[in-house]
Amino acid sequence: MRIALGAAAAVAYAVLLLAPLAVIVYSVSPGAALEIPPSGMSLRWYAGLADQPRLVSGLFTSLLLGAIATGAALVTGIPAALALTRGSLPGREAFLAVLLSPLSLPGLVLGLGVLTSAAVLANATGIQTAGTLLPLVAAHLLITIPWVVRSVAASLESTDPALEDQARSLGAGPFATLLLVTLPSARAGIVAGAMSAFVISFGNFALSLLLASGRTVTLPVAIYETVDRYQDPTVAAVSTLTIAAAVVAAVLTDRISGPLRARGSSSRGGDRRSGPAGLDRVR
Amino acid sequence: MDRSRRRVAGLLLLPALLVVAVLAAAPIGLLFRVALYPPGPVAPLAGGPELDSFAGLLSAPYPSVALRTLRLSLLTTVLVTLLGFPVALFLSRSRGLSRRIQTLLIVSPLLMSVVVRAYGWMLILGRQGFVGETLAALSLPRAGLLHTETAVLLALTESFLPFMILALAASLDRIDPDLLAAARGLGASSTRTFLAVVVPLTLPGFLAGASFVLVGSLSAYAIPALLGGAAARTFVMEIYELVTISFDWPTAAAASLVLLLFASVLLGGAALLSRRRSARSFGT
Repeated sequence: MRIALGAAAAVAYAVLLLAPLAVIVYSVSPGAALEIPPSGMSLRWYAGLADQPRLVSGLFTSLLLGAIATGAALVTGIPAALALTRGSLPGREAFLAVLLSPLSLPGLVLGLGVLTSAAVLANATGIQTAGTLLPLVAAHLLITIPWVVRSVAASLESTDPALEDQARSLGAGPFATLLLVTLPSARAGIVAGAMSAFVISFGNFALSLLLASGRTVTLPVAIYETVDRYQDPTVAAVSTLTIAAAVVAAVLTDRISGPLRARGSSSRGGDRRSGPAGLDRVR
Repeated sequence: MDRSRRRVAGLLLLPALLVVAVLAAAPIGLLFRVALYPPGPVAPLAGGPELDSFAGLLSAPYPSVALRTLRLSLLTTVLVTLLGFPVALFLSRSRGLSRRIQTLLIVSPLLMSVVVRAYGWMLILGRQGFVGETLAALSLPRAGLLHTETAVLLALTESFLPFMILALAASLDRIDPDLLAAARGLGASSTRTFLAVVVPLTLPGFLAGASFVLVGSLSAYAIPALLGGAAARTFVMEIYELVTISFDWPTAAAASLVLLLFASVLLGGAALLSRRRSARSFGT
């Protein structure tokens, strides 16, 4: 039984590895055409990245967009997570559902909505946002907030509020308690949430497709526009860089939330989490 | 004390709620308004309000495209469940380093852009790709799967598999081992324990995972556009072309709202079913 399950798992993991591996292998191929068996290896396509202004500018746009969206998500998401875990609010579940809801909306539809809003705003007030990062930041904020809220709330739930009461009874004010006790104890969740938010924004395609144009074309959109038209390993090279970044982020998240997870599951009757940053709670 | 605490909590929650309300709810509300204008190529967004854009969705090509999209999504959900269940079982029985490595294998693809993964499948399935070149190297007739529904199905299955594994594993991890021991102690065989105890208890995870996969594959754009193209047009591809090629915003808005409504009903239905089910089994 266990062997059969192991075999099934091995097949599934192989399927998951196939597509990234194909990209990595093609990125080091000596020529533009794919060869079986390969005649050698070359890093020339990585050096050639510098000559692809669209991909380079896409990379920088995506890095900038990811950083802004993550920063804004932390500023709004951490207070929300505090309110949801420590505020004894009625209807807590409903508020959480509202904050997480953009994750289950079709990305392209949300992008169309934001695009329409930007057009209406321009008509009504004359404020032109087309061609700026603003519509992209707005759209990406919607999908980064959920990751911050979920991760920070999970972290706060697994720490003991009694610690904060003790700080208060020892004479610390509410702000001192927040800064010196509550937030440090949620550090793992904040870092994991920020990292997930950045990675999700960096790789997002559906939301950006309708909103990116000219200088604001993001890397996934630039890759999409290139792969459909040319056979060019340079795209594979830049894609390989993002694959490497994703793996590093996954390893770091596992490192950070490992201790958090252990603490969370040791409290009996608590809500057990298996994936890093609550990834298992897909909704 | 409690009251002021609640007031502070409300203030802390406000910015995030405002962001969602202004940036998600308002744009969707606007789509409603746009959908009420008379539809047509390069629609001037004047006149109406009328429901012609919704009525237009009943004529070709939308019904057949919607059916294909639904068929692809249902097949994806079935495949992901069949592949994901044994993996989730294996994962939930693994401990230590093995579990951490498996988690990495499952989570890493989620952190990669869907475009990059679709690109990988293009490289594998194309006539000039890994499959085609391998066939040619073996002096077999060159063939490829690119621009077929099968290619779309394959890539959709791969891209949603991690979500289903994680959802099912979360349910499996919550099963109390004492429950399994009790079933065994009462004389149930291991097969019967599995079918009568383990499978029903994974139902919440299955419902959450399945509804997410179904809605996600209905909304997918990059995978059907890159791997299917004209051979497998989906509903979201139609919406994209309505906006960017025919500039028929009212029809695009109406189609978006139909998709949104359908997705909400699916997700809401699954959540309701899951809640009722767990209420029944625990008598609360």
